Amino acid sequence: MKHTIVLNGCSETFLSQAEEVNGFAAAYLKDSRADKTIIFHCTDRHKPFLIANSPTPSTQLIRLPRYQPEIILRTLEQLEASSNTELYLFPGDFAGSELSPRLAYRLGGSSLIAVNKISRTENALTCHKAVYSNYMQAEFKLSERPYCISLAKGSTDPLPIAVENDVEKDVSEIDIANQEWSNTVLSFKGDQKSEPEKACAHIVDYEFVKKEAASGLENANYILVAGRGVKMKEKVDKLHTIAGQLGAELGVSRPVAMSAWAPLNKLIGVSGIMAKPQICITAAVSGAAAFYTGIEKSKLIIAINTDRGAPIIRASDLAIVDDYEKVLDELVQIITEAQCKGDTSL
Amino acid sequence: MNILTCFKIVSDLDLMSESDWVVEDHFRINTSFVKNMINPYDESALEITLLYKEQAEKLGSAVNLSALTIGSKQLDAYLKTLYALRFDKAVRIENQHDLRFSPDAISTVIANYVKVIKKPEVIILGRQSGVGDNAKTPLLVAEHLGWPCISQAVKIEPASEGLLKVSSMADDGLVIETIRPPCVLSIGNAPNSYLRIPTLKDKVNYGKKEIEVLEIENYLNQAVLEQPSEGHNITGLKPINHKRQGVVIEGSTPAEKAQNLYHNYLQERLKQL
Ligand SMILES: Cc1cc2nc3c(=O)[nH]c(=O)nc-3n(C[C@H](O)[C@H](O)[C@H](O)COP(=O)(O)OP(=O)(O)OC[C@H]3O[C@@H](n4cnc5c(N)ncnc54)[C@H](O)[C@@H]3O)c2cc1C
Ligand SMILES: Nc1ncnc2c1ncn2[C@@H]1O[C@H](COP(=O)(O)O)[C@@H](O)[C@H]1O
Repeated sequence: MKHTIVLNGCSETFLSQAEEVNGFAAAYLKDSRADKTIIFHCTDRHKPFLIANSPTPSTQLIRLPRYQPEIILRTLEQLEASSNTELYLFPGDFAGSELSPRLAYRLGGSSLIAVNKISRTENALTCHKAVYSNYMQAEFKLSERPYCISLAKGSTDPLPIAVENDVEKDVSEIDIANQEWSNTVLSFKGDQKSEPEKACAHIVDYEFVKKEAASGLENANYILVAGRGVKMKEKVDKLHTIAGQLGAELGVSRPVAMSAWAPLNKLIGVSGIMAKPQICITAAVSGAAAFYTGIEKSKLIIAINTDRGAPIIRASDLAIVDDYEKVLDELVQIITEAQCKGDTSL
Repeated sequence: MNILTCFKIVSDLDLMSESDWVVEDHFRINTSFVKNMINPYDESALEITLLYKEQAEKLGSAVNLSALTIGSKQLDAYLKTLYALRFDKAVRIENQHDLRFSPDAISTVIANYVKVIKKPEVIILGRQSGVGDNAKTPLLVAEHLGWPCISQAVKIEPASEGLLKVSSMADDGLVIETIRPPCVLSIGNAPNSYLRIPTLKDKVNYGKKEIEVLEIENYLNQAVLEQPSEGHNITGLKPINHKRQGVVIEGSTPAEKAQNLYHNYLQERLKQL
């Protein structure tokens, strides 16, 4: 099989995309021939970094004014129409999951989002993914080529790109950014519209607000998660303080984030962050599968819930059946006392 | 401005217990005994649609709202609620086929419906729905129609001259675009977008309007309906096991439990962090 990787080099998440796809390819595409990695990027400044971290020896760089799905799709469609690539592999981020089905549609192929495992049969690609809100794992057969899949976030371990000094990287470049673009507003002048201009003629004004620094939850060693059972924003704020006292990062479940009791970058689960800490304490979280998938890779899960029958109790290593606030207040006190005595290395 | 919002009714799977996950013929699972709900992303989509209408009307522009769901008669109760929330039109495309894993078929039906009625300039959908967790329908509706699609949208506001200001989440920030319809908007995690509840008065006054019921066969050919997931077929289904030891820490007070947790389990581990 011949596969092509597509990455978004306009985003600061480029390295994690590359390592995610690289890990997946190492696990499931050992016998496949990597054709190339297509990287969309916005500034020449990052080129050496992108090339160095391209997961394949061959890299196609495409420079465009900014990440814009309509332009990227039009470019891929034209570039790949006559290619005989069987599989396009996209990372599990927002960009990968919006581009893969649309590219499949345009190339007459089949697609699947959030794939966590693949295997190859003669006339099909067997893909596994979670369905039924992460309660079930399904197997699908994709039979129309090219197969365009995006990965399930956090399902395979990221693998750093090996630096092979003796292997010459083969790089080709296309530049479609040489238009009258500005960072904020697009202006379309004259009748001779270029391809990128046509592809986003619907955009009259554009503004990008960079995310405040990442919450650090992805790589945190110790997390405390607040669930809907905490009942109000003030309690989430209090848990934030408690997390600080425990030396942990605060995460939240979806209802907490959706009620705006905490920012969205604290959301844990399939719709948010897939954490992999050594220790995870959940407070007033019921343990729905869509949430649990986000803490599944924790070494130790400690659940605090008033309901003995809550699913999180069976899905944790240790459980305390009691009011979360009382238990955590006590725990903070014990740890503070221990710190005063120089008892721990916190 | 004419807006069509598509929504799906799903079972609240968090209410299923472990032993309920029984795979039957054709990879079906009986979830009929748990309560239904509006798919969470679609609930946001519907509320964002209503918020948009309120804002646009304050600015003096007329907005016509339609809501569409594809499914069985059971769903009419939800459509009535949407009438009571002042949607102008509620449409159900009757379907008895198994389209759980067929976003290709669902998106074809929606796009064909739009082509026939020629009305909406804006189509709003949720980004993903159970039980298939497909996350493809809005993207494919856009492809079928040749319209642009903004995914992960979290806010839609009116702008001048029939334009829309759409905020959407990107992988490392927030994009705020002013766009000219037609377009497809796929709603992501939008805080504070729980669907409002209609007043009793509005239920009485508007909730009884007639729901338009259409046949799916008019929007999708029979061959596709019988083999809806061409190129993408389910061949296996099994429960995911989330079980761990679940040791319950004993104690007669919260303090005792916290002591027990700290001394017997946490203290050593914290030293190693
Ligand atoms: C497509 C889709 C994607 C989703 N993605 C995510 C996701 O990424 N992340 C996510 O979190 N959810 C996600 N969900 C939602 C998920 O299904 C659940 O609804 C959600 O995780 C429930 O959050 P919760 O446990 O905080 O709230 P609840 O289920 O309401 O649980 C609250 C718990 O608190 C306990 N409690 C109450 N008071 C106390 C107290 N004083 N002390 C201790 N315990 C107490 C209760 O016993 C209960 O178990 C998704 C759903 C769908 C359909
Ligand atoms: N049966 C349906 N009726 C109406 N809209 C649907 C239906 N199925 C999916 N959708 C829409 O498509 C979105 C994405 O669904 P999916 O691609 O199945 O994950 C949903 O959030 C709905 O807005």
